[in-house]
Amino acid sequence: MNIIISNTSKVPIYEQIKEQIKEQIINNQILENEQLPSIRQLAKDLKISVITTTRAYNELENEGFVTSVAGKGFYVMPTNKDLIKEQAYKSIEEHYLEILRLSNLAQIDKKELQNIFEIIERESTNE
Amino acid sequence: MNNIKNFIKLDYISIKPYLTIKNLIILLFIVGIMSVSMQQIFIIFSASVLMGIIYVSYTFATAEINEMDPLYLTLPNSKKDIVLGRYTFVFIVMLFTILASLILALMFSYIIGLSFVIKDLLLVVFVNIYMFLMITSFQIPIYFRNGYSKSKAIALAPIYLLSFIIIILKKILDLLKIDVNKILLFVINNQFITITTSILLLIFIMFMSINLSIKFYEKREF
Amino acid sequence: MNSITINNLVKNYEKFKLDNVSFNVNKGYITGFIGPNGAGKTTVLKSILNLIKKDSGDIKLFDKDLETNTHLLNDVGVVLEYQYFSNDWTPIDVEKAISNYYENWDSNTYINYLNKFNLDKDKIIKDFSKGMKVKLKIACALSHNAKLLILDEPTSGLDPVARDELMEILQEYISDENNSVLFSTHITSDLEKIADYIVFIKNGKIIFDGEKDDLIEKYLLIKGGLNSITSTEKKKIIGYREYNTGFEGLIKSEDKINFNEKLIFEKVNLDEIIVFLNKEVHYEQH
Repeated sequence: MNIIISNTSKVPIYEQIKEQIKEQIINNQILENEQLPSIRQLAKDLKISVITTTRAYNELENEGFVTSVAGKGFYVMPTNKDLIKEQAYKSIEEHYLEILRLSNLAQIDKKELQNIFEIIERESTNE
Repeated sequence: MNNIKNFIKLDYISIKPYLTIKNLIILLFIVGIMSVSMQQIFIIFSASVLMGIIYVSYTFATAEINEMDPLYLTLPNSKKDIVLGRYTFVFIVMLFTILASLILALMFSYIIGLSFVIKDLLLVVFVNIYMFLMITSFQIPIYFRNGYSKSKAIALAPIYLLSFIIIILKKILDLLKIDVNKILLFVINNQFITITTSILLLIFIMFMSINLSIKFYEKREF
Repeated sequence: MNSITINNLVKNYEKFKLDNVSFNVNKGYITGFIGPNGAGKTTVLKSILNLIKKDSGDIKLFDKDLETNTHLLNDVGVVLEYQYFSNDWTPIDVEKAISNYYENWDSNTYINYLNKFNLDKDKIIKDFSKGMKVKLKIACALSHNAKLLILDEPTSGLDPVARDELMEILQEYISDENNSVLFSTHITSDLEKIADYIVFIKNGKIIFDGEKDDLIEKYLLIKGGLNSITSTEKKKIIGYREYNTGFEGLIKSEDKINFNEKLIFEKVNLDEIIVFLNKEVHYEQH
């Protein structure tokens, strides 16, 4: 498991950890049923506080990516396709909101937005 | 009990640097000169007692200079343990000075050729133990109350006073028109009572001293 | 159970007082105790250890009263600013002097730390540098299986390498969830990363007591050009500082919406929190 923390990022550290673990779970870099390092071990490795790693793990558990077994630690849950979709939905919604805001500011209408989307789609499939 | 033993060890390690061969030689030298010039062996005891009292002050001085009281206090023992430990150490110092004096006295008696009576020896040993314990009983609570540097002057007062009195003792007695012989007669005739009363007095003073020290040290802040 | 519980600690001095100081040190975590010099950190630590007498209030160590339970100190490792050891002692003498007091003194651990810190076991303390003296105290504090470490400015006199080493040691220490650390310092960059809780004291009063993450997220650094804020907005800025080239200050994160979004907002660190809160003379307790 690779986790790299940026101290200068605006994103809170616990969230950076959460997202990086999530991504690796989704990409199967961390496997189902694999045991994550303990909260305290992770804090030591990353040189951050125990509360921060606890929060990251707890949120991962709340979101269904890991589960905690009393006395043993945190284990990766089988990747739930619905869960991933739900996560993606949330993220896409946030991004759409931002796009909407920007387009309103610059007064770009829906048709133009559509155009931009198709151009980007074409370019990314060509890469 | 254990903590008292531990404290004695602590004190000993603190004092050790001052128990050098050099100091011993200086002491022997001074004592040698004194006993030869005064043609008297018993002066050795007084000198050793004085040294002992000085070493007692070293324990307090070392603690203060090196800020060791917080060390004592953050070890798992109580302030009472510390005070009792210190007194026990002082008592042990006393035993050693008397023992050392006895050895030196025998040595010098042989070297210089001065003889003495056993009964006189016993009396001298008794008086010196008494003086040592009496003087330190006055000094130690002062040290515990104020720390070494603030107590230096007051704590040495009994010694200066005593030395002064001894030196001009004869003159004082003459002045007060006290007949020394009468006193000595009384003491010799009532040895048992005199000795017992003085011992009881000493025990009382020591008891008060320990309690005062504990009370003072409890109040100290660092 | 909290390792340390302090309730309404009051201590009066001529020109300073601890004013109803209350906070806890949670078991299993590192609690950083920060504040400007003279704020009362050392006074609080001395009160916890009974080196000074409190005027009123209640302090418990492992839920017990220390005064009547001095054996509790078996489980407490202490690093304070006093010299502590005799100048004539060597690290070997130190062990001889104190090891018998502790039920769980571990000689191997002690020697290992002496080696790790490069402390010559036969060198007398008089010849130690300031940093070496601190390291010796740290070695002692870690060599009797203490469950609680109380450290007062343990990094003063240590170079960055040694400071980093100490942070690593503390994190290793806390990987056992039965251990706790109370770490007082005015060099907050050490605590920045590893502290779980922060207690912030200023002028004898606790002005923050909670999770470090919360404290850092609570404020934002705000910067801008000289004419970019109104005077009403200025009042909302904590520790407002003006230069020829602009201004900077601290605001509560929740106040961000009240400000022009063209200004610069940055994540703040503990040092900046202390400095700006310290400048704010009339800062009220939240």
